[in-house]
Amino acid sequence: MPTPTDKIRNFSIIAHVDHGKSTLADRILDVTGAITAREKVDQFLDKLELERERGITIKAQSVRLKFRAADGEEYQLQLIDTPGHVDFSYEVSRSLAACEGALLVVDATQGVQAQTVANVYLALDNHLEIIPVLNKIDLPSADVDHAAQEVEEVIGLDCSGAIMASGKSGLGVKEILEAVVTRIPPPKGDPEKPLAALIFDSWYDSYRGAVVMVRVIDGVLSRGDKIQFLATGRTYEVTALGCFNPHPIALEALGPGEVGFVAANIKTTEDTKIGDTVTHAGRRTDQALPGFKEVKPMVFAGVFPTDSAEYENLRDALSKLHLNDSSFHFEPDTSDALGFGFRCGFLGLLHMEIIQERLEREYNLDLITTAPSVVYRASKKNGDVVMVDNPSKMPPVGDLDHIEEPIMKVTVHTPADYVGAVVALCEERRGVQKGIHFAAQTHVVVTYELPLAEVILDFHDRLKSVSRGYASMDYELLGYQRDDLVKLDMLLNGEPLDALSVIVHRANSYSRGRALAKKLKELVPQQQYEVAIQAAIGSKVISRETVRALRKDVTAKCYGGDISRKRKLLEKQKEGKRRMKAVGSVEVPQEAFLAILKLDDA
Amino acid sequence: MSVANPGAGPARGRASTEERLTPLGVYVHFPWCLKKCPYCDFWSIPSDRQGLPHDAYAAALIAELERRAGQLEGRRLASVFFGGGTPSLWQPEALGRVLSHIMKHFATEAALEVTVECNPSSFDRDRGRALVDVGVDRVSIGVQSLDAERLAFLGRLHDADGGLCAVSDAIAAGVPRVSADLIFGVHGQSPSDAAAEVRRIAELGPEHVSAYALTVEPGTEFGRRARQRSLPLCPDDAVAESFIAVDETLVALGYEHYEISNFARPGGRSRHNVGYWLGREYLGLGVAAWGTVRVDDERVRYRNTLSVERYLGADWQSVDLTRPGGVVLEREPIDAETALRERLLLGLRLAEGLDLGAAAQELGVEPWPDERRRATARLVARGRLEQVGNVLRIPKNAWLFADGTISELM
Repeated sequence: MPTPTDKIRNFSIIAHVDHGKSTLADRILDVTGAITAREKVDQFLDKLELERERGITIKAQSVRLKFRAADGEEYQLQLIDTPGHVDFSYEVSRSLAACEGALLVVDATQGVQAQTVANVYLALDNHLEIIPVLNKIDLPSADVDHAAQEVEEVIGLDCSGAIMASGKSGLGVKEILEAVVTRIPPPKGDPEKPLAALIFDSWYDSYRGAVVMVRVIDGVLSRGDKIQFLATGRTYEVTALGCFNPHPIALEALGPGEVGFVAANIKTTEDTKIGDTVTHAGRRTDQALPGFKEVKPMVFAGVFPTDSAEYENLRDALSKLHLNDSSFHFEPDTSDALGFGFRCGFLGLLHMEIIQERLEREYNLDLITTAPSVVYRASKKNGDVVMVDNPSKMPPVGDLDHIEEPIMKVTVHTPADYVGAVVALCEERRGVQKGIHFAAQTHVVVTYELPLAEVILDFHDRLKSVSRGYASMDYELLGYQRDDLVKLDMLLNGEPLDALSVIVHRANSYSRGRALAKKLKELVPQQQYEVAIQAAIGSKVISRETVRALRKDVTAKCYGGDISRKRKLLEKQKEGKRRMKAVGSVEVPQEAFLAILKLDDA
Repeated sequence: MSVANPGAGPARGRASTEERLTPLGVYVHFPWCLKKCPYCDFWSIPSDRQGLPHDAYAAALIAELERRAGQLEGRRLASVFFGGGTPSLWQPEALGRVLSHIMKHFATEAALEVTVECNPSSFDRDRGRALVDVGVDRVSIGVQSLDAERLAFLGRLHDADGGLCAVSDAIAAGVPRVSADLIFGVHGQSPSDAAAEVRRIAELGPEHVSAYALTVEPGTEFGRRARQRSLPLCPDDAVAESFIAVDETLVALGYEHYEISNFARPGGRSRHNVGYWLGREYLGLGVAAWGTVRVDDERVRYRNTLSVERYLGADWQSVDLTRPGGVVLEREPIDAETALRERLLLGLRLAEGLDLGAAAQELGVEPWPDERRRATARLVARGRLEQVGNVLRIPKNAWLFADGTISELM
């Protein structure tokens, strides 16, 4: 039997990366007895090894908890975990839409960060009750008053009821749970109405197919029901229902306000779109739940195996990852320089890094990933418009009328001391200033319009470095804008390194071309013949460097005492070689392909 | 021929003909020099002639030999090499005592080769005769250069005449086999200088010449100066051209270029060094000596302590040779795959190359994993390698790129 709605509380936790969300979630699991000591691995909710290593949650996981409150009643608390990075803001918004309230966790040693603000606004958009929690108050550097003041001034949230907590020691966790019961409203919903349930997470299970996590708004969802997904129109029969405690528990039904997983022999996560509405096939709701949108990849990169024999393995690995994460796209691609590989689309740069690392770590693949690119809108002279996600596919200069690029609204929160540096960085990245205001005494919000291409080019790293780690950022897509953009090609002995082609602003093209050629000169090892490195726009060479021919690569002495050392040297040399690619007859190390990403002086 | 193997108990049913015994080289390190050369990365201790513990060192070496030789049944002695340091500083009687103990412990090949490295500053005709008298049949003389300025740069104590005299003295003293070492690719030396120097040495008639491109090794005086960018170096172009000029000169004079840095008249190859390149076992004795032997079915590379005090004071009957510390500085088990990679690294230095199939079979590993097969095809196509069946060799005109070639095959 579904739990009556007045005994249900659905909530999530909003926090900046590192502000202690996962630790706090674990303490909540602890206090409610959800995990036994033996199972207590730190940060239980972060299921992937990678997430634990990076200390961030990538895929939301939601846990149903029992809590006996001070009023003597037992409540069903549903903690809905949310991803913590800007690349996943749509997923966050859908997770928040599944809740009635949220804990706003702010690190008392650090105060409010941009990401937090963005997510609080998402929560307020979803009409959530927000309970401020000041975390890590037991650290010597905690400044509770300052953090509270920031929450009030920057976010505009009353902090008089803020809870003092420490995820590490468990301090304040009981108070948090009481507040969840008393301050967060129970869900509303009518069991008699046609079924409407919100999909806010999905993943692939090798036995059950694609599994969705839903929040029932109205109606009752039972095992064996024939269901339909409104956005895709597909129908399924529910084969299993359940919740996590945090282990999976089978249930017969989910009523209004309840959260659980649904398996229905769904083939792929392509069919389980976050934000979609689940209804009964025989008795459809007449209205889709609000807020659904198709997420589109914003950042593209070529992913190639260093060893071409690994192509099939790479394809298998990408297919497996895609099953679990349909927001990531891939299609076959070929590069003259890198051979056969895939063009992959990601939600953002972090998403790209995560996929890349999983491919390398979980599937043991050696990869070359090209410089990330955004999707350009190229208008040709004949009036055709093409979307170009790979610079090497840009139409020839002669055919082009103009190129447009995606522009982002970037919001940076920074201590006042670093405003100058932040502004300088944004200006250097072709930004247009939209606003600077003091949100609190020393807390400044800087708003810029920036080309996405500039944002994905180590903008976040630079922001962190110019602000000594204090500034934080959030961004959203505004639209496309025309600019004087050109395709810059790099050539080795006249052979284009198609994988290194980039679209840049004309004003930056010379310095960029020069810097790339210089960098390549450092990275292209001497070969048996001379190698010319050129940067070119169309047929016009704008920079040239030369790598002189290698004349000798031989060990003079090798006797009894030298063997181990020489062997190790040559093994190392081989490792380096393994990561080389042949461009025409020139061997180029993998690092050269990554050089563009690291060009500080671009 | 029977196996002379005192102290090791009866030989356990091993074949006793010379062919069926495993060839073994013995390397004896003599760690003292009058002065340390700034390019040299062998272990040496500067010392004057008076302070050398000639007899104590010989006694310690014999004690080490007795301990280690006990683990090496079924070997035949192919070569003994006294290296250093400067073993020509050692009293020939002491050296001879060690040599005769070594010969007593193993069945010896009829063509046993016994080499002593000699420095022109501690070698003359008398020393040559004395060495021959104790059983030495080959000397290797460190001439290094015939140019006063470059000899000074290399930190040598002798002049050009000293080097030339040492070679002719050795021949005149009746040392049956004489080799000369030369360093080329030194700052200020043109390829024709290098060719001229090597010709002058060859004309004295040594049966063997080693010509090394100067290599700046970390941990040497030159290494330190190179890091500080204060060491004048010869450009790679000139070194490569010198390599070719040296080859052309010596080959025209009837020498065979049989290893990257080594030349010999017919029959004059260094058997000891060829043993290294064929991946054979070598027993290392003495301070800082390296050895690689199979003991109890395990192939092990070891290095002895660098400390003379510790070495001289060791109780060789009871020391633990299986773990580093004490008299063993390092110990590295070499598994079969690693051994095969070493066989490639060593064997491809030889003009004949390496029979990879035979080496792999001997070690019980796969000779042709896919990656190596592909690398071989790639290298053959680029003219870097030749393949006939399972035999791989680097053509002479691609020796200058041997490291890259070898690394791709490893």
